[in-house]
Amino acid sequence: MTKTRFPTNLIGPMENVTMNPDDTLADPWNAIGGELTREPRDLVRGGSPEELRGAAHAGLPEELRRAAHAGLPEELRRVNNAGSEALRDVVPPVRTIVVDRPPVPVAPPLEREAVRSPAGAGPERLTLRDVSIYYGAKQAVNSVSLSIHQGEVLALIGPSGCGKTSLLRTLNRLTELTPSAARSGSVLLDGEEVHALQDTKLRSRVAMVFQQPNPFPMSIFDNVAFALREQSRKRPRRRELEPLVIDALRRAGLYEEVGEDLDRPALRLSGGQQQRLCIARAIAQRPEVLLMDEPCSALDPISTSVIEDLIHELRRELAVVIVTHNLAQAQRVADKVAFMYLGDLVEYGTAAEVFEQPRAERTRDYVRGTFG
Amino acid sequence: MREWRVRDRIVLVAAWAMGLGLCLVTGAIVIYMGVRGFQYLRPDLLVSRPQVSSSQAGSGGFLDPLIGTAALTAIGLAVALPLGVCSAAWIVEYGRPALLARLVESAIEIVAGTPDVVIAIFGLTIFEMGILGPLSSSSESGVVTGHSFIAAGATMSLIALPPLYAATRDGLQAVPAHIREAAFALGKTRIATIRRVLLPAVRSNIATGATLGISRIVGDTAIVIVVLGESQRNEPASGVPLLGFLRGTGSSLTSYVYDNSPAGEGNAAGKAYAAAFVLLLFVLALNALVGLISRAHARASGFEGGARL
Repeated sequence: MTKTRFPTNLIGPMENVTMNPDDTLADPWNAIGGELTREPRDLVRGGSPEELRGAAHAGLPEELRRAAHAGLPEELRRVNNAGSEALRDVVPPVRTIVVDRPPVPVAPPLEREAVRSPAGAGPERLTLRDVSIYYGAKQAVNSVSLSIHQGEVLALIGPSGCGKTSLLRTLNRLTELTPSAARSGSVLLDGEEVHALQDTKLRSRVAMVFQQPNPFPMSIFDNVAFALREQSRKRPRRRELEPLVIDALRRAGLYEEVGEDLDRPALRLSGGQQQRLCIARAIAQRPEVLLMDEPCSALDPISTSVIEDLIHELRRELAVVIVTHNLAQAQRVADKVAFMYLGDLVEYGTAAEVFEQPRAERTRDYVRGTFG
Repeated sequence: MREWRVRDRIVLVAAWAMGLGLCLVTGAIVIYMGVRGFQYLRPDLLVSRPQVSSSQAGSGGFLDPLIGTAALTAIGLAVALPLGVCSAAWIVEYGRPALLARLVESAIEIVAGTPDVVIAIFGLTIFEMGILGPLSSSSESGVVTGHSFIAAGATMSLIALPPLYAATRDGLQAVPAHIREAAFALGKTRIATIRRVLLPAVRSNIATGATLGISRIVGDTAIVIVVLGESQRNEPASGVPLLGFLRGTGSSLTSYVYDNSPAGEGNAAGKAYAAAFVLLLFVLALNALVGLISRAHARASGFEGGARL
């Protein structure tokens, strides 16, 4: 019997972790959307100075403190700036609700400062403007704006349930298969609203690879050919399809391994080969954008590295959006990284920026592995 | 030896006994029919037509009932297969509005629970209507009898439908959702997904359902007697080669067995045994065929999700 050891070295520095569970539950990002929805009680909670400092530094990001203090009298702000020791005395801003007063316009969310706009490598393919996604009454994605360029890999990172996959599936309108899902904002493919396109046309231009390899229960050839066969009156012959199928398999780096017998059942391939077959199937129609939903999470390290190399190759001809839980993978493959948390786009920038100089505190904690 | 409670031991023994008992009964039927069959079956019975005769030696074989059974199976399956597969695909893949889906589901359940003789009477009522006269034979005075292979085959399709539908539905439900999603993500429509991915994937389920349906058709007597007319020979309604046969009356192996059993008017037990043996071989061959199809399918696709008979 071997004992499984917990790899402690994978956990980041722990100094910034706040020990009080309230701090992680009381989510300051809810307050960032434009107005304060709850008192920032962390600021006034009693406790040892160390604990308070911890709360002030890690539990609340710089932006929130600024947002909170924007409404405070000048002297308080001064006191606060003087040092965190003074935090104990700070009075929280008390919101008074006056019914007949006209609403005060709020400043645009400061959090968005963390969203940079780096230049894209190629032409812009997909544009997201204020995309929000709802499942029934629950909001899964909150007003995300992004642009996706050809020739680059965008990685969506973030903890589970933060809306990465929902956002990804909205790009080719797969969320429509969920009856309760609704979307607001606009998604433009080459300047054209995706809802104006026919869904079948859209999905052949914005292809997708799933988390679990999902080849059809048929031969390797038929798997790729299924993607190519137009829904026309006349089915193209095998002779016409063969060069296209072989080309797609070659681009997915699978042809060398399976080329001698394309009539083998696809389900007999290994997991990594199946996933590459799914990639071949997806790129066979020459899409403009390739969406990948954690394509390596079910695979072994060797298959993963093969697929990562493949993503590097594919980047030349199309835009790739990849959802991943694996930060190391995001660092390896991505040109741009978007960090999402609880449906919000918290940070967006080049991979180097997001991983080395994150602007938002949440991002810093996440890329260091303190939470998520 | 582990400590077992007495009640558990009893259940274990009972489970074994029941299983073995069932095998014993089946084995007894097959062996008895086999012995009788080899005793009475002669090749000329398979190729000679029934004759009206006062002696057993002159009353011929059962070529006509054999053809009748094959024809009924073909017609019944030709109607039931598209009906069952399409309604199962609709229920599983569309299924909306929910009210209509529930209605279809319970309609098929009711058909499945209806005794075949009731279905036979209903079929006769339908095909007796003057407007459907061209589909069946009519008496010399021009009255539509409602007796024909077409009418009986169509009625047979009703009893073959429920197993076909259930097998296809279960197969489709067993196909994981990510397979559908993969097809949609490639820009395929729902119907293209059903035709090119899902139905091929459940081919072995459809084959299983078809076998069950065929077994029910082959084994049915009530519809043959009521709707097919149960004439001793296949009597074409007109001189037109195939159409005349389909519009005419006839009999099947089951009705032949009944007629020649001591209960029937023929009272030629030997011939009844021979025909019953052929019927049994037919069903066993069918089962073997389906096993072969689904194993070949599993080998070709690598998909092990299909139901086994």
